[in-house]
Amino acid sequence: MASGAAPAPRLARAPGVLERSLLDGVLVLTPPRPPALALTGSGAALWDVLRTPCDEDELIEDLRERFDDPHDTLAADVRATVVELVAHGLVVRTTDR
Amino acid sequence: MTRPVDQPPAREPLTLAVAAHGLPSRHNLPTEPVEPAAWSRLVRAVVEERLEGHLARAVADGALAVSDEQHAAAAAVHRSAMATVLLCESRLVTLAPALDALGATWRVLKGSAVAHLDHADPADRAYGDLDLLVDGPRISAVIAHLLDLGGRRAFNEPRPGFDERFGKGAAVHLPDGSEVDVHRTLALGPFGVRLDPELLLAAAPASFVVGGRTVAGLDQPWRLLHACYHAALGRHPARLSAQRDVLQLLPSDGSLDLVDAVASCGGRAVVAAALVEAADALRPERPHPLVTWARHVEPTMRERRWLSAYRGPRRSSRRRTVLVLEALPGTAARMSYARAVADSARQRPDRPLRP
Repeated sequence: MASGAAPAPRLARAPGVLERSLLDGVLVLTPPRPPALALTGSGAALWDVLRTPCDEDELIEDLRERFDDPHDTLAADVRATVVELVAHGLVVRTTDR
Repeated sequence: MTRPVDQPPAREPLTLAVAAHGLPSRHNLPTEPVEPAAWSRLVRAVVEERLEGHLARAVADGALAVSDEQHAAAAAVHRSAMATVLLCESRLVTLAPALDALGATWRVLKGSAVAHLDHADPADRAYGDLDLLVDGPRISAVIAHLLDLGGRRAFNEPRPGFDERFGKGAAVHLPDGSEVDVHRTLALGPFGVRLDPELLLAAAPASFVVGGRTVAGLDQPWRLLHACYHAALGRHPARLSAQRDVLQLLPSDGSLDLVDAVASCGGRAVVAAALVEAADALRPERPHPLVTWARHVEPTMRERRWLSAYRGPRRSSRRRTVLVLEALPGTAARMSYARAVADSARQRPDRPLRP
């Protein structure tokens, strides 16, 4: 019998999110949950990466390559941002592959 | 100082150049950042004329040179405008299933439709409310639904059935700060009554996706027709964003389809006025065939009389109200309308009817 750890949940943009590009990032909102949230800098880059669902490690790795930040600092920031985006209904954790 | 209301408003070249950015236009943007005072005037004008998206596009393209401080200011006004836009679109997404459940035939109008259907990036078009065209028989139910959501009408219906038969529609302010304008037709007064909105609703729609939901706007010639009605018959003088819509929507193949469309709805003089005024303000490099056509339109006496109720020194909601009698077909409709007007005048002598 095959066994193994459950796959890490993937992060994805929540379906139905509204967005507009900004001069310095992106503005996002999940209906019907105003207000809109402005993502700038690494937050906007994170949103861009999530155009394609990925797990948290892949997300951190992608952003590390973009920003050349120390891994630990970046990882903590990414995890905190993901928690906030999930709380706003903008990002979902999914086990769909 | 006062300015005759039928004269084009005095606008600074920089504001006009921002409004025209992205069109082939004879307006030019400065290649060096402008002085702080000129920048402050520009930002005020951009907000007033609802050009936040066009300003952001000009900055993003590098077409308008800005200092770091000016870049931040442009980003801030754009962000604020887009927050309103997303509030409107959130309302659209949540309202759409209810409109379908009510059995309404409806189309998204103006800002939201133009942003998605006529711009490469919808962030280029700012707007402040959600405009919907709804078939007359369902308009009362749709307005009632919005009132059930806690909305308040800007103007009450003068008598039962008026909205469905004669009214332009109703603006409803909702508790979340969004405004939904429910339209039965595209304009107040005689031009709005003369237009048969069934023509618009019967035409094949142009679909777009908002928040994962597919919604329908008007097809291109009708979208352009509405942009012209809004620019020529709405707020006077028209905002530059409304005039930009007129030019933005001109068919790139030079098609004259709109001429046939206006012939069927009595809007020839309206469309001609909007096209000429938009072209005069935003100065496209080459005249579009529709603008050339518009410059040769000679309004009839009746068209001049009707237009003067919307624009110029004789602009008046009372005149528009009376002129609706000329636009209505048949004695029975005129009698019914006259009774509604009389009822309204008795109930609110201080507030003219808004047909």
